[in-house]
Amino acid sequence: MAENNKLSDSELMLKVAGYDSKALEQLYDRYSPILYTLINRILNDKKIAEEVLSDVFVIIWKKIDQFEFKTNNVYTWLVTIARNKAINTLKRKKLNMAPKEDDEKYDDETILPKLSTLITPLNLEQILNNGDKVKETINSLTEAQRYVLELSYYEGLNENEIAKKLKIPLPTVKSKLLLALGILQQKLETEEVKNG
Amino acid sequence: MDNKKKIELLKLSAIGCINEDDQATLNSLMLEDENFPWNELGEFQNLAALIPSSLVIETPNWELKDKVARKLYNLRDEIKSQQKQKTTVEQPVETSDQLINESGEAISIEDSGLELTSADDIELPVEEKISNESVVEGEVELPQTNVKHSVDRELIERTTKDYIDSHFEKEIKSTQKNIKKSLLLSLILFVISLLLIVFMFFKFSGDLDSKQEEINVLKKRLGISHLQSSNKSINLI
Repeated sequence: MAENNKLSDSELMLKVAGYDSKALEQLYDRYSPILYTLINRILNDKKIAEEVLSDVFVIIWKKIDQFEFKTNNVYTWLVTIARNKAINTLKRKKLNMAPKEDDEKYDDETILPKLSTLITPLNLEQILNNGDKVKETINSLTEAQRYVLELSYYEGLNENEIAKKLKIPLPTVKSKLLLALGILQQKLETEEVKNG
Repeated sequence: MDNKKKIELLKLSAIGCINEDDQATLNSLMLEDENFPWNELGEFQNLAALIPSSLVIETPNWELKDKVARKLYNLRDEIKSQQKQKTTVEQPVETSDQLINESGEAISIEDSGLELTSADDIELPVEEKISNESVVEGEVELPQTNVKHSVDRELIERTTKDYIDSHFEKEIKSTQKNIKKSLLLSLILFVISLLLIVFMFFKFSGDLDSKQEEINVLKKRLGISHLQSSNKSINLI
């Protein structure tokens, strides 16, 4: 366990790929706080958030062969899985549908992220240390931009659903979102925030 | 589609705000377009993943870790039952170069006097050929799945065992620590109580001795005064 503590995320993932349970335990210790926080923000229910978090780790365990070791972006892979699973659970909850039973094909299509082949890896520790900067940047957006961004990221609404909910034209939703992303990209692009 | 439109689509996809039709378009672009802006896609996927870092980070309940371990354990059982179902289909047919004669004795094919004909030489009805082909296809596929699942099963069994072992080890270690602590504590208590008993013994025995001496002194005094008074009475007489 102490050995694993010193390993980088990508080294840990390699061990998890060899079904090393202690490596998965270490990965859990490292990532469960950020993943749980994200899932709980989406679902707003601690009990369900815990269920979803455990599902996320089962998916990681079962689908580790689909992690791209060439690009090695552990952070974005895990955060996107957690977000997708939580949004999926939220949508099923809203529709009063039973939780999806283990369906590997379904997981492949809806939960596992299709990350870019040219994505650069991120550093978890650095990102957590710079959380305040990200918060500041998000707070610097206009209220409308922030709201549209939150509806999309935390509630999983697509552009059409946001337009319908806010009763505004679709192009307005798109422009607000694209502008918000542009500002975030501009302000957070510094390597300091992502990789140190 | 121009590059601006592609980037627009990939931004919406990265943030999870794209509708199904646009996502399908983007997926086909990713597969077919040689000039697909992969760098931009990666950049916006990373950007979207940064958003949750702005939240106040909470830690999940510590018991959840064990729950995850239990889920992995159940997963092992699930694969085991799948494996059982597969093995009933995959029972290998034993082949032999020997035949059994009427009296039940094994004889070699050469000795049997039968001429072996290759399967291709035998004319079969079309339906039978098709069904044979499908059987052959099935036979080719099955061993592959068998290998994959048996590897999975072994790995998951080993992993779950490791996990359980590590947990038991932890529990055993903590129990041993507790036992050592309580042993030490009880030893200290024992020594203290022993010292107390010794102290009390000497104290009380000392007290007893002094009281005994006092009694003796008093007795002596009483004896003397008694003698003196009896002497006086003798004198008077």
